[in-house]
Amino acid sequence: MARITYIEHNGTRHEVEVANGLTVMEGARDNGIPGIEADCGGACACSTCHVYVAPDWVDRLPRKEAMEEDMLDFAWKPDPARSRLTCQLKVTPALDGLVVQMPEKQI
Amino acid sequence: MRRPAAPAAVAGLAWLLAAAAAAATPTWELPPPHARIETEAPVDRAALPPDHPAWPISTVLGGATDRYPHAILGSVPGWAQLTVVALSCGACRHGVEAALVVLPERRVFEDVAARLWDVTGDGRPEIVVVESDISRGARLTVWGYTTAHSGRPGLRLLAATAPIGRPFRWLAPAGIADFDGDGLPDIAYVETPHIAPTLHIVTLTGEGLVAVAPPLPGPTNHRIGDSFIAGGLRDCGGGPELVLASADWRQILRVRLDQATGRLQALPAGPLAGDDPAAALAAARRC
Repeated sequence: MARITYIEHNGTRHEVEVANGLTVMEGARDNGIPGIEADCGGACACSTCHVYVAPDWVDRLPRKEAMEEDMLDFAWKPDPARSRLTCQLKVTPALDGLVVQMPEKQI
Repeated sequence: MRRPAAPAAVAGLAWLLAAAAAAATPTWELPPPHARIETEAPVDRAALPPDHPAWPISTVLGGATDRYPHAILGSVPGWAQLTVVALSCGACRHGVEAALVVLPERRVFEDVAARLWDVTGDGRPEIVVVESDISRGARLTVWGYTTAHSGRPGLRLLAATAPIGRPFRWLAPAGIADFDGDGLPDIAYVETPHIAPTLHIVTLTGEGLVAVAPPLPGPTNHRIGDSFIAGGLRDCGGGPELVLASADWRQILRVRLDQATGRLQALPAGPLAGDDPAAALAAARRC
């Protein structure tokens, strides 16, 4: 279980507990948090679960796989350092305290 | 397993897939021949502009699975993955390449083909295929073959209809044509072809797949358990129309979009008699 904070583009914060083994995208989806659409359901094929990771978390997350890097090409205003696709972030205890912010829109 | 492609075309696809695997390190495996559905749309490479982008020429539905136990297509299972083979871009060194998408556990492709249809109207095909979610049922999806900045090929979900909303509710694509005369392709599909069938026509816009006419209740193109979709398009000089069955499978219907009223019109086109209604619908597509 990890406590994850999702911040909408307008600043609204949602702090939720997400079970290990889910993805950060699924944590938002299952808690009805707006701003993460995940149209492809987690297939890494749409970039609509894009977030900006809090700066102090960038180096604490697993590295991006090539497929995630490629799909971020199509995200709305990606940031080379902070942008991640939440469907590719598996929740573990190491993610306890993670803070992510949603972009203005998902393409 | 149903294999819609002709034998010669299948052999061609097998060669292309092998060539794609040789041209680039594949991140996918080709499913065995008995467990895949192949669709081809070969192009004349000489007719393409020299700077053409990667150009999809064939699709493979694979990864047969029973994780969504609907069985609406009879012997055709659900599919976990879609592979698309493409001619490499005009300036690229590889001849062919391929991209793969693997669906999450709660989704399957539930279809008889991944169609190579030009949905954007630019001449280059997209991929149109029905996808089903274990709790929300089917939706129509449009996938684009992409090349990332890294140069790696990929498949990207460009648009999808809203899911029907319930498990074990399906839809059947019927055809693609410029039904409303605006110069852009429109996709026709029958939602819930077995329970209150309804014909929808949508087009791809910046807002996604948007209806171009009010839905028309009644026409259908699939019977429970059939491993194929019946009927389809015809154009006998008066513009595109769909040849479909009435909901009770007793009538052949010709459906067109009346551009004056913006509404779909269904005209009876004779009884749907005989032991093979699908063959009768196929015959009715001929001019």
